Amino acid sequence: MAAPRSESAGPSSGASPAEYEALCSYLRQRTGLSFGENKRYYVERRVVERMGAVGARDFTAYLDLLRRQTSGEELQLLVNLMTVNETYFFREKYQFDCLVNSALDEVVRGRKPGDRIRVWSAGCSTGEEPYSIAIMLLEFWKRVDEFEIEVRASDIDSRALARAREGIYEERSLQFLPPHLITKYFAQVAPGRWQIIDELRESIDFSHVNLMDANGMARFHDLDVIFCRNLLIYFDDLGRREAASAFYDALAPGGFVFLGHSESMSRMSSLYLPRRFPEAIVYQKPRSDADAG
Amino acid sequence: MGDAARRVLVVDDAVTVRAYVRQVLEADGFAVEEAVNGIEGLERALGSPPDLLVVDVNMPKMDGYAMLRAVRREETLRDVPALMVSTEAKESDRLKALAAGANWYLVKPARPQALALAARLLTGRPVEATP
Amino acid sequence: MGLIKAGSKDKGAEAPPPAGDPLEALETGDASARRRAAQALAARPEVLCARLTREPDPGVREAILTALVRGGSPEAAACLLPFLEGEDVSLRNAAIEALQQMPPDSVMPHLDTLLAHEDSDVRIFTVQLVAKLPHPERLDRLVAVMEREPHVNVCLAAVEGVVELGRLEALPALDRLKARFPDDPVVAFTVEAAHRRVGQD
Repeated sequence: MAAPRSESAGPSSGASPAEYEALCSYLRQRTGLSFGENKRYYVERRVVERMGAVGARDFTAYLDLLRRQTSGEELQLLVNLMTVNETYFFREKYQFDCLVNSALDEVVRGRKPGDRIRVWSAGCSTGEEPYSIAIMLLEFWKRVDEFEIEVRASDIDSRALARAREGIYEERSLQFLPPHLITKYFAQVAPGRWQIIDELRESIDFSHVNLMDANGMARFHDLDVIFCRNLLIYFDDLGRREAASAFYDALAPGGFVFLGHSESMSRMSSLYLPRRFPEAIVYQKPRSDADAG
Repeated sequence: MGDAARRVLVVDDAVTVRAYVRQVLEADGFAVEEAVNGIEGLERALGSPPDLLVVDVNMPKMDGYAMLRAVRREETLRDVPALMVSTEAKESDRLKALAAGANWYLVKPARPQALALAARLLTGRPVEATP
Repeated sequence: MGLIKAGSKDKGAEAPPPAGDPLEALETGDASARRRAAQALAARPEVLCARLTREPDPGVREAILTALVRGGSPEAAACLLPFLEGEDVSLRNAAIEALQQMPPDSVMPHLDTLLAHEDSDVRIFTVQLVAKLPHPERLDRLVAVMEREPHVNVCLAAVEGVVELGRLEALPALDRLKARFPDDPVVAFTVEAAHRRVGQD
């Protein structure tokens, strides 16, 4: 029996269930993002908006455009509308505490002064996470001056990335920062709006990356720490598995992955060992086959 | 140790097996927690070391042998007694379990009396003489 | 020291070299190269499975398995099935997981032979696989196991499958199973637990 039509007066793309599934399948394959039948209202609203913007006469024509356009621009615009961008500074701070109090000390064991440490915020959205990492490192990691630290950040949403590079935030995003850190690392640029200081903005290497694209991912290797928090929940099982595998390849042996507080590698991938630190459980790429079990 | 219930972590991907072990061991005065595979088992054990591990062999993501080997490398878990449970009944399977760090091995389906007896012995609880 | 400026030259890390022939790259000493080669060979499941038996690196094994799942062909399923009979626990479980994620029509047709395998453990793994495949025939197969399979652990694997599916129409078959093993407390418990869980929905 067919599902009843939605009772809400929401917009409709006119797509049949099969066409809707074809769109979701295409998005899943290209980006890893997974939307099921229960997200149909969410997806429909955004598809209708884009159909209007490009003047597509029907859903089939729009799906055709998505698939055939070599620039990928329309796919990018649609993806930008699909991604969820709720974040703020020092979100799930216990993990940043773990980074600077525990995980990094293990990372640098055996490293020489001046060696490079590489941290990647994967799915950085509007930038609060990589900037939080940078602030935590400068303020709280005792050994920050002994090494060269590279903080990289990436997202598939080009609009969010632009805002991340710009580094301007509303007070709501800053609410968990102590006032002295706001004074130190931000400049007020308008009532209720604050911009990250240049020195920090210039220290984050932002890039546009699709986790499912092997070519774009090739630039990420020898990483010591990856933060991927509350991004993989939008992927399906195979997408999560592939993302975890891509991170594994990007990590140096012994490197760590931080997931969101409700996420676990136990549902995603066989490649990592959970490690307990006082502040958090973190996932580690085994240093050698001996550790891999 | 006093009268506080011994805590058992049951690691098995089958919901019916976890429910069965829970029923048997709770009836015998143990407190039971569950995990669905070796990675989740390791996470839970690391978060709060149990008094006994009951571990299945065949599980997705991380099998029981790999989990026990990882457990034995952890200082906080090295001495936690582990009962391995499996459908496989060859002598070589038993030896593999012991080599991975199991203290005891039971073949499924584990009878309630065998399960409870093994759990008591491994956690140092008194064992009543069976008729 | 401290935070370096974005875009600074990274002396330590080199970009990966360009790919060559993936068939050759699959046999090189560099795990990253083998991984990329595996991703390029999704259309050659027999090559991937052959490599799987020899591949020591977990990341490359995973790339091979996800390439096989992405390919999803009946040939890919066929070359993974022999691992169910193998002694390597980790490869066996990995093969089962991969098969579970593949299109059910690619996998299910192969399973009848394995459901009749002489080794009861292979029959157990097969029943577990049947239970996880979203295929219209899976309940029928699970019920058939409960009615005819002689080994108790294989039957219990079928009960587990039925519980996870939560299908009321399987309840009579559960009772017939219990009657076949009247003295087994584990079967009794498991069937009762199944009734409680399935009957709830």
